[in-house]
Order: sequence, then structure tokens, then C-alpha cells
Amino acid sequence: MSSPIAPDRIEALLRGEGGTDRGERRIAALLDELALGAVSAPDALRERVLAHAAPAAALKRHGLALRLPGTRRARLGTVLATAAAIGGLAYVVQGQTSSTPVAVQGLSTHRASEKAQGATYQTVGAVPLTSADSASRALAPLPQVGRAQDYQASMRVAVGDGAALSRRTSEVIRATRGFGGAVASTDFQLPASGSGHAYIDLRVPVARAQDALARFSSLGHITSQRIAIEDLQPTVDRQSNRVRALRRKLALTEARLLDPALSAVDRAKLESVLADARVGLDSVLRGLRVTQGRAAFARFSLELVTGSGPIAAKPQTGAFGKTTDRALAVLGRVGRAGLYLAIVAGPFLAVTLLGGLAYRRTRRRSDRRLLEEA
Amino acid sequence: MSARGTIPGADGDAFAELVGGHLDDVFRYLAYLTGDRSLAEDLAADTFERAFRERRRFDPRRAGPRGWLLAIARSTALDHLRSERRRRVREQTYAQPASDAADAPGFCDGYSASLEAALRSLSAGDREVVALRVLLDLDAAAAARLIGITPTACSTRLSRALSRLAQELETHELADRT
Repeated sequence: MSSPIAPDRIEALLRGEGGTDRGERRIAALLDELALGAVSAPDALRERVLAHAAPAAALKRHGLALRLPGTRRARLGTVLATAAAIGGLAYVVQGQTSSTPVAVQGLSTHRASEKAQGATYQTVGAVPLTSADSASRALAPLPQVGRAQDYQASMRVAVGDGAALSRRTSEVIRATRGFGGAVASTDFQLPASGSGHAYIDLRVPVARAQDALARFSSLGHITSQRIAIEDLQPTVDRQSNRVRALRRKLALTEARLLDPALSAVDRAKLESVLADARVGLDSVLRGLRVTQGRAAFARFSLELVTGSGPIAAKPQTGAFGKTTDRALAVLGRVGRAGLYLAIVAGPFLAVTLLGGLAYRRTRRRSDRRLLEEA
Repeated sequence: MSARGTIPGADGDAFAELVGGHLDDVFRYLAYLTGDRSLAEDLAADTFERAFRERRRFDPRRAGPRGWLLAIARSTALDHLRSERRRRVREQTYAQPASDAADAPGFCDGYSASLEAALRSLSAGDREVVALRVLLDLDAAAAARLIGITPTACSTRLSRALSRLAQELETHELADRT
């Protein structure tokens, strides 16, 4: 076989340029000979082809043409619909499972106040919060008035930059004193670079706990919050009963000791009982004071951190602001759902795409082999 | 404005314009590809029927009406060749192979017997690239797009096909002389 001519020379020959050597001249002559050939479609074929169109056009004019979607479009539609269905299903399933803890949190919060009467200790919420501080305050349980309870609140609040951290820390200390409470400990760290934080342990009179919670919530963006309430009333009741019983016992013993007819042995026994009762009373009274002290002050553990979260919940600015917020919330949800769908359906689409490309490549190779064999 | 839409003149009576403008090209291409004019007639009819059915899928950004019709013609021909191959395999044990199309009308009117024979000895793939580039005068890019290869590969394939054709032509001419 004569060696093939370079592609650029073939293009030149096709443009009508002359051949430069014997091989090219031979190919040029062949091209001329090939181009001379003529073949036209027979009239019968022309009529046959036009006949195909006529009934279809008539059907279309009468609106009877059955239009089926193209195979490729149908295939693409099927793939997209499947991916969307899988994504949607996964989103719904995931949404259901992820919503469960939220419901439980809300439930536990409400139960906390309902069950507080009989319970001895309850952790009523560890609520990680990302927004809506006012909602968090509504969720946060408060100590019950007239009942001895140990109230502990831990909050992590992002306050902005280092200057804000310093300012907010001072505000906390000042506010605590204003509430009649005290600062148990403070640890303030603000390095030259990196994030700063302040750990503050506070005691605030239970009567002002609600005010303190509201005040501390407004310091910045609450990133997490945990409130624990231990019901101390049963302990207080038990200790008070014990005090009363011991006092009764002391009074009786002292009265019996006044009896002049007592023998020396009995007197010694009664004096021993009296001494034990006094020691016991002192011990129970000490315990009662400790319990009452715990119930008198709410404990707050604040962690103020530097951070980029919003400084405070954005106040609602009338109907327009509410509408804007609602619209943005809807947009956010749609965006999240879209992102979720993309992540879930992405691999399926990628596999489908790769499968399609592989199929196309195989098909082309098969076509080429078919044409070589034919 | 969407570039996608019906091909110009493909609706109703105006379909005749499209047929008039491109039927010869489609028929010529199919005749070259199959080496059988009667088969090319059937395939051309199928091609236009399919084109009319799928006219809404025509996208002028991808190819003009001629390129679109040729792509459909190619797909139709490949479908036919595929089913023929299956049929041959199925009937191999029961029937003799069909006689060569030597007595059938040639590829083109005006070709010498040697050229006809040389063309027949080429593969359909080789004949296809010759038909597209030489007979239908498609440029390298358009022909390459239709076949599904790069323009350079298309030129290379044409060069090889022409070399093989020249070789076959010489062989047949020598045989005729002797």
C-alpha cells in the first residue's frame, strides 16, 4: 500500500492545489475522478419521503399528533426525577430523625417545670443555639418561686472582638453586683493573636435569676446554653423535720433530767442522750443552712468568647422586617434543602454521567468496528 | 430567543423544501456508506421520516440542516448494519450468504468499473469519510463532528482511505488489463 499523505496535504489537495510528487498527483487525480461521479435520489424516493410528511402534517393540523418525548430527554428526565426522589426521600428521612432531639429537648424543658414538684434532680436542657436568643430565653426554665431549688446555668456567648470581650466581662461583674450577687471566680484571657475568652462563675440571688438570665443572654450571640435544676425542697423538708424531732427530743430529755428522783445511772444515760441530740441537731442545722444557701443563690457559669456571631438578636422592625426575616428564613431553608439534595443526589448524577460517557464511548467504538467490518 | 426549534421549512408542506434541498446529499451519502442504492433509498426514506418526527430536536447551534440530516442518516444506517449483523449471525447456519452486490447499481453514475470495484473493496468506514469529504464537500470539522472524531483524525482517516482506494484501484486496473 502506498504511504498515506499528510493530513495538511490532503486538505490542500481537496482545496484544488496540485500534487507535488507522484503520490500526491495520483491522489489528486483520484479525487477528481471521485468528484465526477453523480448520483441523484430517484423520483420515487422523493415522493415516498414527502408522503411521510403529509399524514403527519395533517394530524398535526387537527391536533391529533401523538408527541412522545425524545428518548434522550426521557432518559435525562428519568435520571433527574430518580435523583430528586432519592434526595427528597433522604431529606425527609433525615429531617424526621434530626427533628426528634429537638422535640425531646422542648418536651424535657416543659416537663422540667411540670415535674419539679417531686423530682430531686433534673437536667432540663443543653440547648446549642445558633440564633433567636429571645426564643432561647423563652425555652430556658426558671427557678420556681417558693420552692428550694439548686439552679445552675452555663452559657457560652460570642461577644465580638477583644474590646467587646473586655467590656462585656466588666458588664457581667457590674450586673452581678447589681443583682445582689457575687463573682466566685473569673478567668480572663485575651492573647495578642487568636481567640480570647473569659470564664466567670457567679452567684445571683434566686429571686433575680430571671433578670440575670435575660441580662446575660443579651451580652451577645449565645452559642450554647445548659440549665440544670436540682430540686432541694425534699432535702429541706427532711432536714427541717429532723431539726424539729431533735428539738423535741432535747426538750423531753431536759425535762426528764429535772426529775430529782432520777438515779445516778439513769441521769448519766439521759445526759449522754442529750449530748448526742445536741450534736445531731448542730449537724442537721449545718446541713440545712448549706441546703438553704444552695437554694438561695443561682449559679451561673458564663464563658464569653470572641467570635464573629451577631452581637445581639436583631430586633424586629415592624411588619416589613418580619416579612423580610420570614422570606430570608424560607430562602435559607430552600438553600439548605438544595444543598442537601445536591450532596445526596450528586454521586448518583456523577455515576450516571460517567456511565453515559462510557456508554457513548463504547457505542462509538462499536460503530467504528461495525463500519470497518461492513 | 431560543436557538433550539424546528428546522427551517420542516413543518407541513414546507417540508418539501428541506427534502428538495438535501435528499440528494443524504441519498448519496447512504449509497456510499452501504454500497447498495436500493438499501440507500430505504434508509433515506427512514432518515427523513425520523427527521420529520424529531424536527423539534433540531439545534442550529450544533449543526445546520444538512449536518443534522446526515447525522440522522448515519444513525439510521448504523442501526440497519447492526440489525443486519445480528440477522446474519442468526441465519448463518441455515442460509447461504446473500450474493454480492456486484450486479447492483454502482455507487455513482459515471464511475469506471475499476473505481466501483475499488470502492466496494473499502470498508464502510473508509467509504463514509470519502463520501463526506469528497462527494458532499464537508469541511474537516463538520465531517469530524458527524463521525465523532477530531478534525485531524478525520483528515488522517481520509488520507488512509484514499491511499487504500488508490492501491485497490491500481490492483483492479492491472487485473482488467491482464
